[in-house]
Amino acid sequence: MLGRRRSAPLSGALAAQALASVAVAADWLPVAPEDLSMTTMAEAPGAPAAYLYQQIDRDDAHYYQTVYVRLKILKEEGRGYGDVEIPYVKGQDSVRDIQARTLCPDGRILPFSGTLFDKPISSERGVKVLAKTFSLPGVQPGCIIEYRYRYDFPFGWIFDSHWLLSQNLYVREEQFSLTPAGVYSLRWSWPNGLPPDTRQPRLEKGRVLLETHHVPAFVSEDHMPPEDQLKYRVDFIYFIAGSRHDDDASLYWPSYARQRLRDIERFLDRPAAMQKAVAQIVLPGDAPEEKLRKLYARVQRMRNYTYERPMSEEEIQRERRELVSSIEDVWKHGAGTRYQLNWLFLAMARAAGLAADPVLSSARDEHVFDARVMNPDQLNLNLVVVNVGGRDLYLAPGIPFTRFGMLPWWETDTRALRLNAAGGTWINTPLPEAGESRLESRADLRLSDGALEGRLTVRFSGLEASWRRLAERNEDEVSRRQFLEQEVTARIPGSAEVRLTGNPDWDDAEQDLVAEFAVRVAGWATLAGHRQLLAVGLLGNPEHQTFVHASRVHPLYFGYPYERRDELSIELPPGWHVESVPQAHAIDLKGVVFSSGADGAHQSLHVRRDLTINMYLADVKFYPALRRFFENVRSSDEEQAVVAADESGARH
Amino acid sequence: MSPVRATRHQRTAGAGLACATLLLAGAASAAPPAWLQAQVGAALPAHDDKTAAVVLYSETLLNAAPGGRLRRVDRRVYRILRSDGAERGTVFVPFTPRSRVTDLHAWCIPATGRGYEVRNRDAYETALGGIAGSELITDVRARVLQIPAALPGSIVGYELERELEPYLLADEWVFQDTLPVREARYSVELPPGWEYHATWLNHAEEPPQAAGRSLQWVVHDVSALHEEPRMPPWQQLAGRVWISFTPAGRPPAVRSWQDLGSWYLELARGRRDASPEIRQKVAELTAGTPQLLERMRAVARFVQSDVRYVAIELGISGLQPRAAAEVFAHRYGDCKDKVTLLSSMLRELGVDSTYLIVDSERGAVSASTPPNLGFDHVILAIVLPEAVHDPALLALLPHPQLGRLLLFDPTDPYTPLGALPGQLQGGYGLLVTPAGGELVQLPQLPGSWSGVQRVAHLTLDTSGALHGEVQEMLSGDPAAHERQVLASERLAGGQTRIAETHLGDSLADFRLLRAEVSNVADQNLPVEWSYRLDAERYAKRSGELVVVRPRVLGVEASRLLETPEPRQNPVEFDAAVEDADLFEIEVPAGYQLDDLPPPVDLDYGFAAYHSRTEFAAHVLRYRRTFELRALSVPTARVGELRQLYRSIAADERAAAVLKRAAPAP
Repeated sequence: MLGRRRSAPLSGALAAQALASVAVAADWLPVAPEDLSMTTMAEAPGAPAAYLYQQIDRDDAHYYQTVYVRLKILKEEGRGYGDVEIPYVKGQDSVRDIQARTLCPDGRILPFSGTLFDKPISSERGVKVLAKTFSLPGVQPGCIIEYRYRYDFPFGWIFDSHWLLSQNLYVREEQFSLTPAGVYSLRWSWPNGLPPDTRQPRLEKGRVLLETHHVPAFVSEDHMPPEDQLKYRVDFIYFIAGSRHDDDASLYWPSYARQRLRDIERFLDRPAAMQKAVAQIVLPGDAPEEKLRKLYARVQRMRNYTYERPMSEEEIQRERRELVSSIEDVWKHGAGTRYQLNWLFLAMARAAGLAADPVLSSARDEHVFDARVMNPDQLNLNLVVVNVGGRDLYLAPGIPFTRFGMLPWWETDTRALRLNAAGGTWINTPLPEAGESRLESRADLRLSDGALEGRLTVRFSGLEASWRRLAERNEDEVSRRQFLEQEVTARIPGSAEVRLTGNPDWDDAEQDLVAEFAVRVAGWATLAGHRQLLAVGLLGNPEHQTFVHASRVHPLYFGYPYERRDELSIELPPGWHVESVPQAHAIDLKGVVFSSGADGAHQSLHVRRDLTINMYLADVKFYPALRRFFENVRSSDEEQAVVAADESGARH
Repeated sequence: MSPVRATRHQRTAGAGLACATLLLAGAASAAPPAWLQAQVGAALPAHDDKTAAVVLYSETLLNAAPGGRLRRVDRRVYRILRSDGAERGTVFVPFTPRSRVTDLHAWCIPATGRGYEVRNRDAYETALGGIAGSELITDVRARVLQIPAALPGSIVGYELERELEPYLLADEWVFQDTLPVREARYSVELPPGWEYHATWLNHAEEPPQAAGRSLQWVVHDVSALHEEPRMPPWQQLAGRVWISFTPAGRPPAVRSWQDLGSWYLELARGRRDASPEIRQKVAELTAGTPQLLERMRAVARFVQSDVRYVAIELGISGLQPRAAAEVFAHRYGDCKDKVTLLSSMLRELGVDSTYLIVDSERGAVSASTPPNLGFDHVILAIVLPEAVHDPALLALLPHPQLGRLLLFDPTDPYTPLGALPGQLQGGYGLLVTPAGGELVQLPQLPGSWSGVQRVAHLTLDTSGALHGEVQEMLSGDPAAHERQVLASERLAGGQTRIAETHLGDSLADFRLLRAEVSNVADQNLPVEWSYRLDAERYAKRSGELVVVRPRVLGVEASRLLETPEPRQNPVEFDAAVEDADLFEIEVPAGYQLDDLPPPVDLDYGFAAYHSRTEFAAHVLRYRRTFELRALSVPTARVGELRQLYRSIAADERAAAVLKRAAPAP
């Protein structure tokens, strides 16, 4: 899944050949009669349109790209594809040689002869983004529209690029080519594989070529991994060839790791300053972990530029932030970016006598890191591994509100590079168990006139607490209150009044986030003759509409493992008793677990509901089982406890 | 709630900032102007703890030049109270070639520390976001200026200068905001001999203070407009003044809606002339169709479906339609272009028609609105020939001179000739007639035109599973919406997915065995769904009891009014509707009824809801109707609407209780 080309100036003959083959064709490509006459496509049932053909030829040696698009309009809703918009940066890029036409099913050809507009998109500090826009004539279901153009990049600029094979419509055929810039070496990769029966990109006569067919339309679904992990694509990365290891990932990464380690060690090399700093934070008699916790807490309290509210340039200039050339500067300034604060922690841990290593990591909510690709930009995060008592602790105090011993969810279970003198070791960051990230709800309610009223306490722990604290870090009390109230309201199916009482602790990452509410749910109990029926899933709304579709394309993605524990205690009005309760349920599919139960005694009803998602990623082949699981959960939530009036005839 | 990944963009930005060499000098900060300084320490207008910011001062200065050009200066001063108020630190100014920004200047006086100043050169320009995606080109852009340090405790203010060349010599002063306003001033200086006329809307009239040729109005302590879902448009609520001007020695350009209509008639003159190609197309579309109404339907359908919506809004073309021949040749155009083409084609059938200029948000224009160009949509008023009568023609407006007018919106691809999309019903529009214009109110269609009817015949088995067939018929607005949803499906199995989403609203667990939808292409017929489904655990056991919810499908309840704060605005609906459900569930032999949910009979006038559950011959039968009769519920009656929704929600959750009959001895 990797290709590469060493830098070498193109020979004259090769260059000419490359140019000739990518020149914009003077003629349009021939159109098959059956393409014109067809009104549906079996490969794209229900689609408003489909790409019959797309060709993108990029020439990095001469800084331009040509594009050819042919689309079949299948339904009325596809006519919008006849309106084309091509953004560019004025004065930097240009779009020219635009040609377009509509081919009607009856054989007529309508060339585009209308107005080509330059639509302003934005303009800031001299940078103007415009778009060439035009509208093809006579676009109707059954037509084929096609257009082509040349896009000129800024002269002299060479930059990484990619081919996106997956589109939002079915693609019958597409071709790509890239003529590399001669001055750099080029590497390309296809991290998500290729469409079936697609030959790998190949280097041929100085160009990288790819042809592919029958690429299905890309589908977006709920609970899916990041799109970048799923779309077919080919990524191109330029690099300066300087090492014989550029071709081999098993050699590339150790070399890279050694280089990065040297840079980091140089940055950290202020032992005296760090000793002095540590001496202000820990006591000589502190046990190693205690030292670590103190250092962690201290770094977490420092000003963190990365997570402040966005500041204007004027405000930043006013601050006169000083340059940071070493870790001592970060400490002196009392502030840093997330990246710097993690390295400060590393330096302090070492100064405290602990064995600690830097780690370069990636964020799995954006992409899946693949070492074979040899793209170091993907390792864009950092953390620290500290060995305490023979146990490795993975720590990132540069992210506010992250509890000691945990990582933010997007850095859990990701491939990371632990840097050491040996050249680096690949590790997987730990994934906390579901029980470490819990949302526990405890409600003490009374039933009165069909309504439930009382107190609800919600406790967020682990990752459940940390992401909420991080999300609300720059908000005030009013916003935070609304945030929590809206969350609880959304969990209750029905009419709920929810009011936060008390003051949750938003600041202490080591403590659970606990919120207390006064709640009233009108009309929860429904009448049936002399009975009242109460559905037991008072807080089950989040599972509503989860996986209702029979079919699915993509894997399932939950973010991180978590638990939900709900406990309700409902006091009945005088003269009422629990007549019957739903049966208990227990479903254990190992990755997902659900149990529920209810009992009625002493004029009160007790309901318990536990849901555990002990994974975050599941292959699509498990979808039927997961769908069934959530159906069972919803079905259980709908079950009713039945309360009845005592013989005395007390009523609702 | 999904976990949020915070500040992805900040992560990389922050990493760069601290390492960057700061080459730029800090922005010089001149003292803010006196009108801004005067607000430091000013008392705040009444507000609550949720108020994000307050408007301390608002001033508009209008200077009219003899040539008809207006120079307008706007000054605003805010005190930021909460972090949400920081958005007032972004000055967003739409402009066009006829409303040019000549200067923009802003300041911040923080609670502590030195102030900030930013100028026009610090602003950037952008296309207007939020406009429906079919604008190929427009000359409307926005200038955006960020005021630094717009934090709680800061006072931020700006001064905006513009040169205006309005089509109508008039100006609007909107003094009510979504924030409390302490003081708002409007001053105008007129050339000698000029006259003005001021119309106050949504506020008691205040007399101006005059000094020479200057006039000034001042209002104090204006309460905030509260933004809520399904509220009327701001034009219906916000306190504002419409001021029109008449230059010396000239009659008013527009004194009335009649004048405005005449002006538009002139603008559109000649645009509806048919070309030979148009005539040919009309002949082709109507060949072999003797009935006039069917011929009208054919051309209407052509303009709806074969002329795609594309807007080109440059200069006067934002108001003036393109010629019908041009629209026909390219087969695209915006709302006024499509109306123009349709009018031209109908004329070839001998049917006359005229423009009806409306606002797509009902309530933006009312009977008391003075003549102005504040519309955003155009539909067609067709003069219905005497011979044409059909019960499907519901969007009728009787006119004393023109006769029966049939209103039609060719921009809406899903609403047939004879009907009107809900959002246009009941609103006001400018009818452009040969005699000029007049403000008319568009009709409200009966609820019977729009709604969802369901009938289901189902069987419950001894395991508690439900099986059977459901037929669902959607008409009016629900049908149009469903057609749009179906059209937007791009993938194989899209119809099944849509059906699954519908069922998932009501059923916890189901298998859709079959789903078919018909009449999608024929907008004159209701959309009809037919499902066959199984729901495995539909009946629930509770001890010895079996609990069955008779309302199988469909949600009429709404959480719209379940808010912590009391509702402050009326509630707007899209259209009057009449929905009906009939669900019959055959229960297994050996089960007997123990309890039924009570019937519900509620009628508030603006809406009514009735439901009844019966049990006979082993069939649990549930019937209900829901009628929404009004397009709007006033604030004073919102409490009743909330109670109605709660009662509906309770009814939708209600269940019958069955028991297994004891075996015969």
